[in-house]
Order: sequence, then C-alpha cells, then structure tokens
Amino acid sequence: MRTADSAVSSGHGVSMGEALPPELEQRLKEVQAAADKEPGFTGRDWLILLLTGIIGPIALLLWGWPS
Amino acid sequence: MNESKHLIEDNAWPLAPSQRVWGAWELFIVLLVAAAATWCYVIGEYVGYYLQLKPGFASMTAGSMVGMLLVTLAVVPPSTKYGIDSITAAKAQFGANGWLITVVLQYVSIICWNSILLIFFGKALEEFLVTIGVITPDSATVAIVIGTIAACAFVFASLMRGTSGIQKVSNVLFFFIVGVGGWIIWELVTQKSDALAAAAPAYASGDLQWDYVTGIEIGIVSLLSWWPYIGAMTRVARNTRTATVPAMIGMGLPVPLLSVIGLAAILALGTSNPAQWLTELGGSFYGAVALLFVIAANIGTAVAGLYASAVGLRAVPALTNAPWALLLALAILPVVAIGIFIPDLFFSNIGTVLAYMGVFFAPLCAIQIVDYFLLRGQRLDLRALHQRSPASPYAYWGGFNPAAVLGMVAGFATYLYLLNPVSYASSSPYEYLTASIPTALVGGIVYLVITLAVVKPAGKGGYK
Repeated sequence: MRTADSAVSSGHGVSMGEALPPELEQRLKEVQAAADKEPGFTGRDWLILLLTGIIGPIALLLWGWPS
Repeated sequence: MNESKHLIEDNAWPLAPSQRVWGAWELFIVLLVAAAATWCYVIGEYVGYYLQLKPGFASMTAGSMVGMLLVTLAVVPPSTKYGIDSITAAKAQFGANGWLITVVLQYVSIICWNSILLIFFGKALEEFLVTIGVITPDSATVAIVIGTIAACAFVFASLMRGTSGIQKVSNVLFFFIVGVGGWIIWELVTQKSDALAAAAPAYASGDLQWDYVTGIEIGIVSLLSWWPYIGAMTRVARNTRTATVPAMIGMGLPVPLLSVIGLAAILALGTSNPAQWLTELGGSFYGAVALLFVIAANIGTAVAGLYASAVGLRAVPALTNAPWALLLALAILPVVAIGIFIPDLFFSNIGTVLAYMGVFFAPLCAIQIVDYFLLRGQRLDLRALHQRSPASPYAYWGGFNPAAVLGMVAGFATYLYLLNPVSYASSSPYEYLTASIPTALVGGIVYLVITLAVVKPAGKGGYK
C-alpha cells in the first residue's frame, strides 16, 4: 500500500504527513491536478461581479431613491 | 456504474473533475430553482413594511445583489476550483475542529429554511385542496401536517438519487416558477395599481433614508443566507468561469424579483398569506394554479437545502461513514418535528430567523474572502482540508483558528450594535452603511490583523 507522502504530489496546496484512505488520496491527486490548471475568476468574471454586485446596485439605489 | 449513480456524491470528499458535469445553464437552473421559493414572499413582505413599491424594489434588489456578491466571492472560487462545498472550504479559516462552527450554522439555518418551506408547502396544499373542494376547512390542520410530512418524504426520496435527483426536479419546476411567477406579478400590478400607489407602509419610520437603508439591509441578509446552500451546487460546475453568471444572476436576482410579489401583496392587499391573496387575485381556478406554483417552488428549494445540509453533516467525524439515508434523515427529521408540533410558532418568528442570518453569515463571508484572496493567493491545501491530526496546517491551536473565532465575535458585536435583529432598533451609522456591510468589514479586518500578527508568525495555517 502506498503511503500518504508518496501518493500525493507535494505541489501547490498539498500538504504531507497523515495517511488518508487510498481512494481519497487518489481523488485528491486528481482534483489537485485539475485545480492547478484552474485560474479562478477571469477578467470577464470580475467585470460581471463588478457590474452585478456593485455598479448595478448603485444605479438601482439612485433610480429608486424615494424623493 | 450507470450515469445517474456516477453523479451521486454523498460524502465530503472533493468532486473529481469527471464528476463536475454541470455547465452554466444547468447550474443556472438549479440555482434559480433553489432561490425561488416562498421565502421570497416573506422578504418582500418585510420590505413592504417600510417602503413603497419602487423604492422597496430598488433597495431590496440592490441589497440582494450586494449580499450575493459577498457569498459568491466567499464560496464560488474554492468550491469550483477544488470541488468542495461551503463547509469544507471553511476548514482552512476555522481550523480542523473550528469548522464545526460552520457546520452548526449550516445545519440550523437549513433546518429553519426547510421548516419554513415545507410547512408552507403543507399550508399551500391544504388551501389548494380546499379551493378545489377535495377537503373542507374543518380538516385543515390535519391536511397541513400530512402535507408537510408528504413533502418531507418526497424531498428525502428525491435525494436518495444524489445531485442528479436535484437536477431532474429542478428542470421540471423551472417552468412553473418562471411562468406562474410572472403571471402573479402581472395580476398584482394590473388589478391593484391604485391600491399600490396609495399604499402606506405599515412600519415606516418617517425617515426615508432609514427606511431605504433597511430595505437594502433586508436584501443583503436574505442573500447572505445562501452561504450554506451554494457550495454544494457550484462544486458540481465544470470551473469557476462556468459558475459566476449562474451564481450572480441565477441565484442572486430571482429572490428580489420574486420578492416583489410579497412586497406588492402586503402593500396592496395588506396580507402576507400567499394562499389568501393568490385566490383573491386569481379566483378559485387560477388561484389554485398559483398555489401549485408555491408548492413546486418550495420543493425545489427544500431539495437543494437538504442536500447541502446532508453533505455538510458528512464532514462531521462521527458521521464520515454513515449511510447517506441516515444523513438525510438527520437533516429532515427536525423539519418533520417542527411541522408536526410547532408550525405556527415557527411561522410567527420568520423575521427573527431572517435577521440572524446576517449576523452570522456577514462576518463568515468576509473571513473567507480575506483569507482566500488576500492571504492565501487563491490556493488551499487540499490535503490539509481532509486531515485531522495535530500536525495538519489547519490544526492551528487545538483545531481552532483564533483569528476566525475573534473575527466572528467582532462581526457579531458590530451587527448587534448597529441593528437589533429582532426589534430593528438601530444605532448610527446604520442609516448610512447598513449593518451587514460594516459587520463584514469588521469581521474581515479583525481576521486579517490577527492572522498577520499572530497566526502567520506562529507558523500556523499553512500560509506561505
């Protein structure tokens, strides 16, 4: 049986030490490999967040102000 | 292993890339159905106590989108990158034992929401059966209890099929929600326009700015309560890019849009009981159809909530190897008990439930945002999330991260100072800033300062 340390790479975001079930070790390896390629929010995503979460609400508040 | 079975993931392990199969549209539908439920009427009703239709809609929608932004920033990046739910992602901030705080928050909040939804289901079903003449009003109490239990059983059975069960239910209910919801709004605006224009909000303070900010606050806290739900669903998305629009538009926008129904109804009809104003607006037949919408919408959301709660419970060490059915039972049985024994007491305190969501989830979101984006460079230690030994980077001190605990306490105190969640008595600068936004800021700053001053120098937390 492989040890935890040998089963999982020591790349970004993966710690060593405590042994985990072999199936979980394999899962973590797969997930980590995919996560290393995942950039997170892209510029397009940040723009959407800015428009829908900040600029849009500000515009709505200006429009709806109870004058 | 067949396809539907392959999609079932009833443990707290990260989803493998091959299991993350939802595209943007599929996730959009699931999140939309999860968001569109009877609580929208309650949210709109509360805003209608302070504001008229236009400012009520504007403030509620703006607040909702701000709340959704906080939840999206806190949960979506780690959940889509690593295939983990909201609870697992919180281990990095709260510690190998401290994350149980978030499990409790999730468990209690989802039980509360599901109780509201499924008791409402029972009430709507009872009203529907009375309307079509199947039962008489004399047997209403029994019908409500039976309806609530039947709804719980249906939700339980749906989830024995895992996330594929959610998706199938969601796809069917989507058309009910959009179509009938639009019809209700149309009927309200066209039939009751005079009453809407003349309506005076019942609890308006006389200070327009305070009322307006309160509308924003109600919107924010309502959407902050999506924290326990969203991770369990976005983790099935293919990547972060796939989940951004569904989260903001699919989950954030439907709540204020549907809440307009409750807002308009309380202003025009003076009642917050959908079963009453649906039949008043549509007559017996169309009212009954609309009640079906209420029934359908609640089931979809309850399915999503129960799934998220069961996945969260799986992360509890004592339940790691528990059967999926047991986890579902633990999440649904309290709802059954509330539905049988104290449904009216529960319904009379919905406002308090809503308010306390903001108290806890505002600092929680801020802590996660600060940690993930400012302190960890958008990387978590995936293996440490599943370790329990004292040597784990997320063991901190005794399994608790003092930065997170103190951040939550500071946020909690800030909220209570600014706004009493029960009475809505406020202190300045609430009338300028709301309560949730300063609460999030204080919680996040306290977390940041303690981490930089204490945790990181001590070599805890796995910070680089």
